[in-house]
Amino acid sequence: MAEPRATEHATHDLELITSLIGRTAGIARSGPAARLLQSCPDCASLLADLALIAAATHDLPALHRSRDFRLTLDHVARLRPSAWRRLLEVFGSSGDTLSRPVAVGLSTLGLAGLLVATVPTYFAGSAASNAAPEMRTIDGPLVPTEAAGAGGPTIAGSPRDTVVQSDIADPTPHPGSPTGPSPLLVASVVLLTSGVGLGVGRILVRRARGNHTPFGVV
Amino acid sequence: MLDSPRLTIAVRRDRPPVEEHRSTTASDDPAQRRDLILLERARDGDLDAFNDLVVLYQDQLFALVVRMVPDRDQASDAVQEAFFSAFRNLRAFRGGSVKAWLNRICVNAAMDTQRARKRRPVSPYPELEDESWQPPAGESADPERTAVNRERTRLLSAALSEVTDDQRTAIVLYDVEGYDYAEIAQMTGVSLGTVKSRIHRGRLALRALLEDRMELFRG
Repeated sequence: MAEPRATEHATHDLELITSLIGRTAGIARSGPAARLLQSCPDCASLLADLALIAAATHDLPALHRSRDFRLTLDHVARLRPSAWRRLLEVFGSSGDTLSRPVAVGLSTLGLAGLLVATVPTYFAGSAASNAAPEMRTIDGPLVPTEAAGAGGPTIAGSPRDTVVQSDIADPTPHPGSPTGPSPLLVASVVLLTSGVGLGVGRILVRRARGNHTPFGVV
Repeated sequence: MLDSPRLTIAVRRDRPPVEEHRSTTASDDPAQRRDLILLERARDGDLDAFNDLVVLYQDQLFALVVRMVPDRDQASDAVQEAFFSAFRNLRAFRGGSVKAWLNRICVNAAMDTQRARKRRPVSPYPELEDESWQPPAGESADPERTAVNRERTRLLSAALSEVTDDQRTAIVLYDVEGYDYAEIAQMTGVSLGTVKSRIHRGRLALRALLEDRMELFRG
């Protein structure tokens, strides 16, 4: 008889039994849990044991700490984030073991690409404006001119000089030549935006969940 | 069996006060008002105010964490880190119960320590053999009863440390700290069903571990 009983007990929904623990109203007198307790002595024994264990857990003595957790001035000095750490927090918290490094990496690549894409253009424009006065001295007299630029130079001199100088100094693209930002510039902007967006998005998701953060509930 | 006078259903401790999540104004509870005043002063740079909060709650928070992380040194480190985190994020406090806010931070710190322990296992629970950090028995305590209680505590603590981290966390928060399923789900970042399942499996695991010594619990 013991074996069939043990087999039958093994098929019982024990979660019904454990769910009774912690109810201050006492054991339910009806329903599937009560029927189970009345029909299966093993279930009843299990409930009794679980209740005793839960009560003992509830009554576990508080364990004494061996350390004082108050903060000292040294702690405060170390806890104040440096400017660098405040910048890093834009990309997520220190607990983001994957997303923060990825966000920082993307943003760094984007910034580097922006520098590479824009600095040569800047220096090329400066070099063109510096070269223009020398060209003016070749055929015509020296005359004061405005700085060459997109607005177009006003230059006194031979027409030939004007054409040459405007060709050199005027960075305006001519019809038929390729227009728009370089692919490197576009890619850099995309990378930078992705990196910052990833970090900010991660922060927003964590705050929205309200879990696993040290912040209060919003 | 069900009518046995020795059968008791666990009576949970008083539940934590319901939080008013959206209000930063002082509540009717004097303790909450006090905590909010201290937190405001701490936000303004008053370190002593923050340390007053630490003094108020460090015992209770350590007792919580050390049940979740059954290693005294690691539990101490987790609690210290939790207070560091609270100090760094004072301005992020949105209102409600300061005590509950600190509890959440400590639970997170304890869970982080549990994850780290999985990566770097340490020799388990030597502190269980050292009674110096257990509360002393009262003067009028019966020595035999005291010995039985201590042995029961030791066995239960050892059994708790052998269940999984998730199950232990759920049982400690439910049975020891008195949080309900919804609160535990929010603190640990899992669903209500998962919390119930962890408590269910944890209880069965404890019973299996203590099956041979249940006579100590039956009185």
